[in-house]
Formats: sequence, C-alpha cells, structure tokens
Amino acid sequence: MNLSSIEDAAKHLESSAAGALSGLASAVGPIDLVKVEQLVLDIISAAPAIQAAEQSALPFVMAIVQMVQNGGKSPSDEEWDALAARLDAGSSALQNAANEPDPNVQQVGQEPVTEPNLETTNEPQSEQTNPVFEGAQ
Amino acid sequence: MRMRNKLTFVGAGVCVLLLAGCATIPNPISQSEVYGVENGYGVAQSAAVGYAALPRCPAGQNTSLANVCSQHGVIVQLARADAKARIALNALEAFARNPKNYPGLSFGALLATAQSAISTLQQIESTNQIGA
Repeated sequence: MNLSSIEDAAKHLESSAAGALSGLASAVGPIDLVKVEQLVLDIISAAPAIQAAEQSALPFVMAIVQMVQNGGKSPSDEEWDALAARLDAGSSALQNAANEPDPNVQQVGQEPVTEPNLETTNEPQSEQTNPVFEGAQ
Repeated sequence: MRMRNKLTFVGAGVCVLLLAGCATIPNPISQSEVYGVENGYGVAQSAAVGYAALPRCPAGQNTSLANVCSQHGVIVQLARADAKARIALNALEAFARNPKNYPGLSFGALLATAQSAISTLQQIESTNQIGA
C-alpha cells in the first residue's frame, strides 16, 4: 500500500465518520453540553468503584484460567484457602454495606427521634432493630 | 471339605470387596469443576461488591447512566442472596473435596441448591443492571 492509497483511505474514513456524526446529531437533536458534562462527571466519580469491582473480579478470572491451563487438576489446599478468603472478603463487604443505615430513611426519620420516646417504648429489642421508626411513631 | 472352605473364603473375600465398593462414595463432579463454579460466583459477587461501593442514590432516584449510584434496598437483597449462595457453595465444596464425609447427602441436591442460590444473586444483578 502506497502513501496515496493510505491518504485516500484516511479521507474516506474521515468523511464516513463525519457523515455518521452528522447523522447521529440529526437523530438525537441538539446536544445538551451541560447534560453531557454531568454524565461524564458522574461516570468519572463512579470509576473508582467500577475499577475496584474489576480488580476484585480479576483473581477469580485468573484462577479459572489457571485451572484450565493446569488441565483441570484438582486445586491445592492453598488455592482453596485463597478462594475462600476472596469470597469471604466480598461477603463481608456486602454485609457491612447492607448493615449501614439507609441514608434516605435516616433523613426522614431522624428528627422525631427523642430520648423520652425511646425510653417509654420499654422494648429494648425493638429499639435496637429500628429505633428510627419507634421514635417516629 | 477343603473345597467348601475355599468357597467360604472366596465368598467372604467377595463380600468384603462388595462392602468396600459400597463404602466408596462415587464423586460425580471433580474438585476443579466446583472450584470453577465458585470462582465464577466470585465474579458475580465482585459486581455486587462494586455496586455496594457506589454512593447511595438520593431518595426517589434510581440508578442510571446519568446517575451512577446504589440503592440500599438492593444492597440488602444482594447481601442476603450472597449469604445463601455462600452456604450452598460451601456445602458443595465440602462434598466435592471429601465425599466420604457426607454419605447421606445427595450431590444433585447440593448442586441444585447452589445453582439456585447463584441464579438468585444473578437475577437481582440483572434486574438492577449491575455489572452489565
């Protein structure tokens, strides 16, 4: 391939891309730059969590690849232990997140909660399980 | 008389072999297969953990491309599904590694329970577009 044919191919690609972009623009209408910017910012702010998920998934994928490469040989005790440790870490992270109070419920219910109300309920178990709603009532 | 003794001896030997055969629980799945299933589950679990690490959605808002966040209720569902899946997978793993320790257990039932628990987590992820 000589230089002119490369240039021709580049021009062709450029015109195709321009055509595709103008077609897209006419299809979606005028682009709201503020919305696009916000979308990009949201995705960037979520990137660490997404990246962390990818990184934590990687050892599982690598273990499968290694198992296939080993021809399906039974895993060693160390490999079983490492797998259990990884899964335990994930389960703990999920349980901890689930045990965190729901910020939306807190915002609604925190104000009515007062100590006298909690004391008059005289039900320690219900106070522990859901003090916010006890107080709200 | 000698012949009778021989037959008795051979018969006793056959009985011992048969009993030994009965005592050996056939392992219908290899350890590496269970290891693969558990690692596959780990990938799904990682997506759930990543979702839980996102900031919580403001009240009345759902997760979307323009609003990347997580909902507390969904995290609670994921945590419950994960707890069940881990119990089922641990049982499956224990059986695959030492089937002789669980002579009364059915491998098919263990596998079905594990698959059901895993698919519950995957269903929650699919419904909420987690890891998609």
